Amino acid sequence: MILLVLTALVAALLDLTVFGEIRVAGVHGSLTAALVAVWTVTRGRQESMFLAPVAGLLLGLLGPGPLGASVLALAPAVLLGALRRPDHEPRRFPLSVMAAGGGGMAYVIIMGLIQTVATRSLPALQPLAVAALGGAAITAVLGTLVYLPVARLAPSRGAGAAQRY
Amino acid sequence: MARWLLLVSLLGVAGLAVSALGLDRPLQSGAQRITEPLSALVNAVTEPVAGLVAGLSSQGRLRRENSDLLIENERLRSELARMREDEIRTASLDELLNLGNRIGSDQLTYAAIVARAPGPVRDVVAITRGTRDGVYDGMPVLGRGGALVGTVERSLDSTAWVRLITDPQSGVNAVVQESRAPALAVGAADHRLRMDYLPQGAVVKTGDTVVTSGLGGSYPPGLLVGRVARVEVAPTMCSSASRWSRPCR
Repeated sequence: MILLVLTALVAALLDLTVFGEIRVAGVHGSLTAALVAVWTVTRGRQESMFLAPVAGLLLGLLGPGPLGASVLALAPAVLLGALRRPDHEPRRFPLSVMAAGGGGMAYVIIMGLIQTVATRSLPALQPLAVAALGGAAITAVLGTLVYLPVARLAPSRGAGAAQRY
Repeated sequence: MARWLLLVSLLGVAGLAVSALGLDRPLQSGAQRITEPLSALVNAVTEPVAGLVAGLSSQGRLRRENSDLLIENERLRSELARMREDEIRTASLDELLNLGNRIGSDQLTYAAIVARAPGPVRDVVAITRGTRDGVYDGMPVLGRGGALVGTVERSLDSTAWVRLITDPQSGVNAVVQESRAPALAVGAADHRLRMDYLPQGAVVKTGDTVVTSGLGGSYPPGLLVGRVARVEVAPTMCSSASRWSRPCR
């Protein structure tokens, strides 16, 4: 549990500092969403079901956004990562990347919608769509970066035979 | 999973409600205080990387901005040069206007020099006025400040050739203003003026002002010709002394 909290904290801090600078055509991804998605695929959903809300709360406390927004926005990363647990190791990487991409897209969309509601303005669909696609791509790339360190961590007690959730 | 989803949704909505009520500020302050050491460490470690990434990601934008700024800089420099030229021209026009006021603008025709006769001996220039503008042979030509610069030698329809007073074929009846000593200011081969036929005993010093005397009727009296740059005493049988006069340009 301490590892999860520390991991969530470091991911949140990195997201708010260096990874916040990574922008492509004005959009940026989410290291935390990538981490949650990859963690779910490689280590199982039990840990990520704790990791995601903790990371979301930390992002809300340490970042500029409203508290609770990131908690909601990181949930899809867990759901996508938990869709299918691969039987074999070689399949985990592409699934992790795809889950990270999907989680990143969902993160950008949910955060965009929440911020739109908070500012009481109508959402501009085209920019949101562009940001979502860009966010998905960048988060997928971030997923490739975090895959190796996460996969090399000691196996989770919940890991084992493939399960369909 | 469904239960987890419900719990997370409730947690998220509760967090949004807390933010909406403004109750999150003390929580955020407390959290940032607690995580400050770790945050500072992460910042210190990642700052160079963040700078590099920010630089790389904004390279295209910076390159475009740089290109736009270079173009804008060049445009502004050209504009500045044009404005400086306008200032100089305005100052010249002011001088001409003052000259017109002194002499009578109806007696003046303004022109610009457009050409210079090639060759080392003659000192002749072309101006942008000719017979169509009322410019005829023999008319005196003045410079910006009103000093005498030459005489119209040959006037065409729209241009005229002006023989400058420094031309070897030019001669101006002049007088040294300070001593009232009369002389003939003639052009020399080195494009300077030489004053011939000064009376013996005339007192002429470096810096003395030389003006037209009006004798002969070629030029009105009092037009500035130049200032004495060098005095030489050369005894001759006719008791004349030559003085070098620097023409006003």
